[in-house]
Amino acid sequence: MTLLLQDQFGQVIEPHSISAGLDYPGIGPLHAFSIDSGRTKCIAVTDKEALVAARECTLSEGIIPALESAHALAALDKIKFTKDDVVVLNLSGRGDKDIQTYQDYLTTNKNV
Amino acid sequence: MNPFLKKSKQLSIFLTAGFPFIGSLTGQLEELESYQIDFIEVGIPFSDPLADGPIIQNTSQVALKNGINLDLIFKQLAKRSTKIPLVLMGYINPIISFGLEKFLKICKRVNISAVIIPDMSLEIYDRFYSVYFEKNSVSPCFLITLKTPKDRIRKMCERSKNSFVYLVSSNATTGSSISFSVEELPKYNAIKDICGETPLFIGFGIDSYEKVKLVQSLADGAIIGSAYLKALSENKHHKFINKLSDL
Repeated sequence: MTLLLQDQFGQVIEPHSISAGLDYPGIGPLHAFSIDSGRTKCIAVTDKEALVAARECTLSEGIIPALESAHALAALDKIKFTKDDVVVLNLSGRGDKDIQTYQDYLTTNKNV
Repeated sequence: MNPFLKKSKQLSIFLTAGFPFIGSLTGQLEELESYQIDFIEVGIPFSDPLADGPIIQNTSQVALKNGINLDLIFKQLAKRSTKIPLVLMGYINPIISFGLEKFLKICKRVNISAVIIPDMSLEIYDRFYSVYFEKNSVSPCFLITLKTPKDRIRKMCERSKNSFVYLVSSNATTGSSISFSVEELPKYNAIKDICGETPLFIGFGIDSYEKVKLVQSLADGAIIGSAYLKALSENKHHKFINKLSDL
């Protein structure tokens, strides 16, 4: 059907993500198919990596990304690009809604 | 020979494997058989039971916490001494995870009379799974509602010649108390006609003796789940079944 966070018995595992939009154990069947057929490569990103990437984007571009999109930004560090690569990044939402999370994180981790 | 075909009106009970205790299944089966229940539906607990209301959801959670899984359920079922037909009801994900072919092979081995997978559509069954069901002579059973098109019900009957058609009495989840309106009664009769030789059972929200009687007048029998499990949770199930078996 689709890809799920599940245990060895096929029971769905309660997920965790710092981003509300990603705090769900499954993905859309279209994505699952695209991964299954090899057209999409999937990269895992931790809460911390997303927060660090969000901060960098905010400071360098003046754009506060949504926490969901911050995961895409964090993936940039994990891919080797060549000089002529054309990179399209889907910055799918704004981070105004996540200000509280950013603030909590930045006040407790001043040295990020 | 269809084990669900009887001249008399029938009553079936649904229970959740592994509830209230990890090993309670076989004792429950024996007890229900002694109360002359016609067949039993054994639910395979799933973390995301999308057709179930709060009572069955809760029993599934307890059963999973108790550590129940398909391996254990099959081991318990293999040891049972009861003779009445058993139906296994489970969602597709744990079954795929277990391996559908292996699942059906063991179903055959432990003599399961029918398998209900609520989130397996007729189309998915035909396209991917029917070959394995047929190879292991396990009968599928499909859920319909009052709004299911006639042609679809006919197709389901063709595939369930050795089991039955399960009419879900409401568009909600299990355990939502339903009321039968007089205007809808002809619809039930029409569905009964379409099913012909294939037995028709009605479930979801059957929580009183009156509803069992009404449902038995409309179809071949009634299936009780949430109301029984609620009584079981409160340790009132003996009284509950006793009263029902007097019907």
